[in-house]
Amino acid sequence: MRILNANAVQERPRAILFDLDDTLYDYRQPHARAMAAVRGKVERSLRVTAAQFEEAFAQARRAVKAMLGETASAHSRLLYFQRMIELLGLSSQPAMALDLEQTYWRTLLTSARLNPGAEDTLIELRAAGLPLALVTDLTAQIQFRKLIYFGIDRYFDVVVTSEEAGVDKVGLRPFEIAASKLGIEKTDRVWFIGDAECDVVASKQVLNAATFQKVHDGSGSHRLHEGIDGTFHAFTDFRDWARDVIGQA
Amino acid sequence: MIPADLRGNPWFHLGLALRVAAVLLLVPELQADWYTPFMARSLSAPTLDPWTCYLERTGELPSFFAGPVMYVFHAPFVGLGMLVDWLAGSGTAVAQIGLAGSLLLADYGLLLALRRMQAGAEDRLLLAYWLSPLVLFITYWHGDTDVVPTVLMVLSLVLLRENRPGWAGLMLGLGIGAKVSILAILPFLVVFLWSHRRHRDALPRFLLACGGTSLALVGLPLLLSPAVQQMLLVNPRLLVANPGMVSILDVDVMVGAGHKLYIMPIFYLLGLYGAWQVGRMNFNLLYTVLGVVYLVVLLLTPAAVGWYMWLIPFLVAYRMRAGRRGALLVMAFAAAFILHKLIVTSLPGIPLLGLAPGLLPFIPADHTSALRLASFAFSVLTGLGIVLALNMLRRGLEENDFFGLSQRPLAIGIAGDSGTGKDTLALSLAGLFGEGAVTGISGDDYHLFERRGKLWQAFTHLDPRANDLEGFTRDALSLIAWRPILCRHYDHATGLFTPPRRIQASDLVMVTGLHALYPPALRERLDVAIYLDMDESLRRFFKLRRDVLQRGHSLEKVMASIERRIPDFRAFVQPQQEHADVVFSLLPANPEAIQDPGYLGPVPLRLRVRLRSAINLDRLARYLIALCGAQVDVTQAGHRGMAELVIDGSDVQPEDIDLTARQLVPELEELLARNPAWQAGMTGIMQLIVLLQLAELTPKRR
Repeated sequence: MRILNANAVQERPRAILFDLDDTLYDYRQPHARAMAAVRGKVERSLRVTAAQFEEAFAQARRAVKAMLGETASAHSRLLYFQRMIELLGLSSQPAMALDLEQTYWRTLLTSARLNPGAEDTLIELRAAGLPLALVTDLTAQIQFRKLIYFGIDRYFDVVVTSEEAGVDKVGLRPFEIAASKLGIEKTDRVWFIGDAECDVVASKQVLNAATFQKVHDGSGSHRLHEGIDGTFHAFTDFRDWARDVIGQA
Repeated sequence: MIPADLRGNPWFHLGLALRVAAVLLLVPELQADWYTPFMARSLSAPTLDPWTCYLERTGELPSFFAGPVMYVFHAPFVGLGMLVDWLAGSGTAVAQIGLAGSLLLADYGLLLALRRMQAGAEDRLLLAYWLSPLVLFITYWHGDTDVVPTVLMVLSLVLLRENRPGWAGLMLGLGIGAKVSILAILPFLVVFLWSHRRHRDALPRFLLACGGTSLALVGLPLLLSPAVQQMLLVNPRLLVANPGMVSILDVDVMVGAGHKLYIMPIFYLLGLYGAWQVGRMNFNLLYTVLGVVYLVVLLLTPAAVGWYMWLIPFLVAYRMRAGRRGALLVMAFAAAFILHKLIVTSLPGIPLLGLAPGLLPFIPADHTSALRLASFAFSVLTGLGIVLALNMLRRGLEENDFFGLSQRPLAIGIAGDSGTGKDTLALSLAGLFGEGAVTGISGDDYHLFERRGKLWQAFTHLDPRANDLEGFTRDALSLIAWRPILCRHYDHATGLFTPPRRIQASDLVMVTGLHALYPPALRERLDVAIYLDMDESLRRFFKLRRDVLQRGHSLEKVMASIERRIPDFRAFVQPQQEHADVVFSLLPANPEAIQDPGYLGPVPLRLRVRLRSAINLDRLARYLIALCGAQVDVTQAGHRGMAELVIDGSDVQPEDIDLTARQLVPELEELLARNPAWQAGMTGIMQLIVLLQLAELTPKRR
């Protein structure tokens, strides 16, 4: 746990906002496994090589993102896979796209684990009477599934997805919706805990949040985002540190 | 190379610093007298046959057999050290550090392997393994190299658990190639794999890989190296002995007529027999059994030090689960071990202090006192060892025979009227447990009369008097008691009975029939009792559609046959619901669609589940909704106090059910086939619910 701006984090917050992917659970390894499962399926059923798959998928992802901009659907694996199949020279193949999407999420969920201490932290923060919100990009369907799969849906008072907001967090709107659902004023102190730089910027811009960066283990690059107020590797460290601040209520 | 959580952990660094200091400062006698000279002399003229090379250069037979894997593992480190020694003119000092350094690498490898073996307890592992005085003493103080085969053994177990039997066999083969005595574990693994149907098909690949590798690694030197052949002629025990001739035959009893009774092999065989008797084990229980057997065998080999290294993975596994008292017991045992070995083994050399290896500082000069002191220390060690072994065994059996499977098979009873899907459900459940793991008896085989029998005019099949329920009960109980039965079979095609055939007992007994829950003696012995029901209007609709529209019978006749069965159904079959743990009922999703008997389209169904005991109901409902995409209504206390779920999930995928089961009842995975055949839709949901009930009720009923 490292505090970079002690002034910003010294008072008990009115509410705490969390990011989900790559913050509460580590996304990269499950994602790699899920992609490997999808690739295996595509290689078998469409007889394409791994290189062809990678190229078509990357191209499809770029195309979908370019077309949809910063919206929830721009992260949709279903759309990526549909476009990829089309790029591989087939028609849209809805059944196959759905199957690949389900394979992807099923494999991802099977191998994803909540970061150690994450659930305990949520429990303690709730027990301290703090409203908790989850603000996340991507479609509601899959994000809700994740919350239930991890068994952490019960800890959040408010969940905002970028599908609901019509734009990703970088477009600020999800934070505005979260604030309004939580009944937070601009002057209220809130904390945001996430991993991505754009989230830090957006939460600061909308809510003037004190921001904590969850640093990934083993990533090698521990680059800190500009304007970040604190960083931590393990949720247990964050929890232990937060006890002091929150206990001052 | 070093996982992030270790990099930032002070305990890890402390353990590492202790090791590095030991490698640099200590010269254990074993290494100075045996390993390093052997490695150095044979490496000074590298050849494919280091044993003969050593013989030729020194004129002496090597007095222990360092397997080729061990040799190849140490060679680069010792070789590099020799190069430095040659440049610096430092004798064999750096070569010695090279050898010890290679052990440090193996030791770290073992930490990583144990992290995989004990996933989820990585932080506690640092205290239990990395800072264990036992580990530090054996490898760095006493200088044994057994950590190398131990890593390979642990990797083999981990790979076996990860369902990679070929690789697991290869690793164990390499372990045997490092130290032949690691072979001792093989019979236990064979018993383990054979006893558990889930693992049985892995046995041939495992044995082939292990046998092939170890034969090549040990067989080739035996065949091709003259020095190894001579060694064995002089003393065959050299092949499995540690330097200093620690032998497995140290403890014996004279039994007269010049015969000795070696105690250790007897205990080893007893251990093997015990493992066979335990039967189906999970991996944790296997670790317990291996730990106990090794512990007892080692206590019967008083001079052993290095071999205790093999025990350590299992002691760690025990410590991870046994809490504070278990940890204290292990620590006391480690202390007694170190005290005893300090007395009977020599100090390592400390070149910095000018201390040569080989001093025996803690032993009194007087022979009798020395013997008494060593014996006393060994007695304390043995006493603590026995307590530890008993504790490990008790805890291992208590924790891991959760379902009491070593005592009797699981028994599932499925009752319900004909046409409700008893056989479909039974078959689908059998698919979860795998071929050969399931046996069953069907009530149909116990009808008293063949189809043309005249008495059917007086009775329906639903009447208990038309069935040999006593024989049915007796035979079901026999199977549940793991005894085979002889049973005739009712052939639905001919309406006749076949001659009796033998049915073997197996891990899961499925008792199906119109009256499967009728006899109280049978009900008592079931782990889960299921009743299958069907909405009355739906049943009529299906029967009319089949018999009238497809088979061309007259509507009146079909209706009359339906009506004739109703009183017996209500009197004898339906009341079994009261004794069921689970009642499944199929309901029409759209009751209006089946008002018209001529309707030929698809009939969407819903499943109503009533559960007598349902702890996980809320979680189940949430997972069905979130992971399977089903629609679920929950009533906590519905019909007669039973909790009720109504599920619409006809398009649920088998993979989703699999995912849900892994989340809800991970402990059941050990029971199921390696690739359980989950069904789609309602049947899959029924499979899932039966498993949940099994997990919940079985431990209570045993």
